[in-house]
Amino acid sequence: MQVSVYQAGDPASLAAAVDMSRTALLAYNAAKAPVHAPKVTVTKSPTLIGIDDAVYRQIDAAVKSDRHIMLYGPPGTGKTELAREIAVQISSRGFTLVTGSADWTSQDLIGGYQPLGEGKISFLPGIMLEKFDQPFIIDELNRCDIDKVLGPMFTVLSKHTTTLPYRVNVADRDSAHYQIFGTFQPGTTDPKFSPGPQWRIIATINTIDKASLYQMSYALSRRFAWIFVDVPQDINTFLIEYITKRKSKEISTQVELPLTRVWRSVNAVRPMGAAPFIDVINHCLAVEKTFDFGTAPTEPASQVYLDAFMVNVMPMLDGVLKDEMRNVATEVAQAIGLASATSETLKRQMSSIGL
Amino acid sequence: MPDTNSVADARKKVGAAYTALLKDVSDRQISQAGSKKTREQLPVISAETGVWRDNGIASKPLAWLVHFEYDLDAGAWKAHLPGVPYATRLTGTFNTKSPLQGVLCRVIPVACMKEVGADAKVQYDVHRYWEWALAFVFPDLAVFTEGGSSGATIDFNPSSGRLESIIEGCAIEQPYVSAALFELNPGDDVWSVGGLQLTYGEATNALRAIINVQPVTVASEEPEDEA
Repeated sequence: MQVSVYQAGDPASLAAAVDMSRTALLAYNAAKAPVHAPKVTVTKSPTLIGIDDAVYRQIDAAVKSDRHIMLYGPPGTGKTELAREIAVQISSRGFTLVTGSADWTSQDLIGGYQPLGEGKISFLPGIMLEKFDQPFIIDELNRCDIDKVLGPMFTVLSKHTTTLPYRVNVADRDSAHYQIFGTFQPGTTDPKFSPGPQWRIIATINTIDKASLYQMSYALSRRFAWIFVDVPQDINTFLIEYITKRKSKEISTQVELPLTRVWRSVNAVRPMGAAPFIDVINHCLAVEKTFDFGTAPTEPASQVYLDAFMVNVMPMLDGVLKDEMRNVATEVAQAIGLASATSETLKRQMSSIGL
Repeated sequence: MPDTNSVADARKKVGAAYTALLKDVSDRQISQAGSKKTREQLPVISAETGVWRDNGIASKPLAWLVHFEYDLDAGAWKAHLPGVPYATRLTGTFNTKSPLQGVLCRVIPVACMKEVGADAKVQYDVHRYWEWALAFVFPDLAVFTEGGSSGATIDFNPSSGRLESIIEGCAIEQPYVSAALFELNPGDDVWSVGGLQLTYGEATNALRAIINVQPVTVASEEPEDEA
């Protein structure tokens, strides 16, 4: 297309040229996403039960203040599902979820030089830069070497532009380097990367793993809004609500379920979220569709409870002290009405995996 | 009667119009390359080579030099770029710290006169005040913004319409949403060159004929990932 010609000395011609540029510029900007993501309000999910209102309040404030979010807490408290729920509520472009791995390097997330064949190499963006226009969920973040993997993003997480140690032209030592903008810049093209207005990191960490797996530096920690996802405040009500929903059968809220007592005894030595106990419920219902959770268990029901507990909860108590394990076993045996011989077997088995 | 002052005034009007546009739309600026220099203050263009006499200017020119030559076969004036290094360089160093979203470049015509015969010489002549202004508006901040303190240059390939910024020795494409060529003189202004006459209007047509542009549109971009 040949360039259009205008006369500078003719006001109408000059105005037409400027109007042409204005129209092109506005059309381009309008077709792009808005410069700032619209402020959305994160609301309580009807499908996620047992999450405290305070958690939603803190998430909403973090989203409105453009913070990255770290969900941490005991295992099984629904952090991953909550992260997905947040991503769905704040994004119109879907989201990307990856699970932390000890094998990760910054090349996997940010990018790095990779061979192209015929002896050539070039910088190829990692999955985070490829999905830079939508929320990026890193589940179980502390399973990777966090500082090493996210190191190049430190500055970006603070909304500042950073330069990657990769040259655009590898062969030229004086070549420009790839850059990542700290904030959304419409129209950005390679070799610069710009986060989309809906991009933000939502990460999860299990507090049990936090001590034993990769630690996070203070510098990186402060770039996230940390939100504690605790076990449900009222676990009896939580279980009754869940069972009622699963079985479509009312259970009186006045009764304390045997499973509630089991969960409390476990929480006394290791706080645990709902997931393992939901697995117990599903296990019981798989064995007996009409399984009665609301009354004191009879002999066959006790055995079903025991199996479900050993399969779904006991492994999560690995590393608890032997004395505490015996206490839990005693409580569980009483709660689910085990015969004395079976109760002793449970104590012995649980002690054997205690410290 | 047109002269250097009227051309400078016309160029200023174009610059002011684009400054107002960008101020309004994005609160950014247009770089008016070489605008502070009068024609007399620009480096000398050699009558022997038709390009900047000082080779050092070529990599950081304040204006784009375009050669005009009379095509005997076609019986018309034609434009072409000088066959020298940096011929596609529109202009030299910008202050890369400014929030720039466009560039307004000066285009200066150089007439190329070839003698006929075995020992034919080539002579060049530069019009005293003729110029055009070539404007590009970028979709967003110039790619060279934040590129460093060493500044940046702009190269333009009129055949492909590709605009590039040379940053630290590496050519980075600079997309643009609009391009426009501005006449700064009346079309009937005449330049007598080696016994031939060239009107400003003819020169504009010859210049326009070699300038292809490829402004970006959203539709021409890769489709967004809607995962």
